[in-house]
Amino acid sequence: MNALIVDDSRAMRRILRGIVTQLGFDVIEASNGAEGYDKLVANEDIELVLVDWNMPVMNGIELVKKVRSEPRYETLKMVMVTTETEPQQMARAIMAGVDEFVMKPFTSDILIDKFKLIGVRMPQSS
Amino acid sequence: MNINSEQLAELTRNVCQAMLGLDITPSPSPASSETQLTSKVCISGQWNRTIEVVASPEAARCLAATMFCMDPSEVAASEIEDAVSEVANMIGGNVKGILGGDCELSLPSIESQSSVTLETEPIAKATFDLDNGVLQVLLKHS
Ligand SMILES: [Mg+2]
Repeated sequence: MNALIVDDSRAMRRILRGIVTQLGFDVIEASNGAEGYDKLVANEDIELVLVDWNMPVMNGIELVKKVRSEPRYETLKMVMVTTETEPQQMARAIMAGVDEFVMKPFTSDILIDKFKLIGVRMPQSS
Repeated sequence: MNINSEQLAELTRNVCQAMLGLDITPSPSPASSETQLTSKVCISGQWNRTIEVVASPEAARCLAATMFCMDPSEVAASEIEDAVSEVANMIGGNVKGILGGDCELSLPSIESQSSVTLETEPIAKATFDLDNGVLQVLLKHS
């Protein structure tokens, strides 16, 4: 089972990878929304997408809207992980179609609680 | 709405603690004159502000090593730039949240400079010791 991490920061992808790997996911990474979309389409078994907001080429909101416009991705779990902290930004992300919103900085516990809240299916941890 | 140096220090500590597990200590020491790495993010809209994260080589390397879970001696220059940029991004986003209003946050940019430029007096400033180096966060008008 795969998790797709879309963030322009390699350091942030490394941190997120560490957390979701512990949950048993295999990780696919992308550095912007356009690359994230291509990887989503190219990989069948993606259960969870973690997406940053501020990225070059295609930002996270654009990616979420594009993905949600396709019926086949209606039930895909998408969590926005971002430095955007204002309630109105959170509302924009929810409107675009994210299931949950995590503000940077976050702890691994906060992230995992959000996964549970939205019913992310966890792979068998090894 | 404005942000003072105490608030800037608090949110910088929070970013380092929550995200990296790093306890950073406030330092009275000024930024050294050696080559430093600066990452900038700009807030524009209702508020126009620049956040600069200025890291000495030791501090920048420590941030990168922590974020990439690597030995400090093994991190590459690109990883150091990436790590300092993401710290600037997180601090900038949190500053934007405190300022409120309708604003946009830019992507972080990176620059090497020989010392902190003081052409613009900062609105707020926070300085920390980090792994025998100095990490400084400046909030300026832009
Ligand atoms: Mg980003």
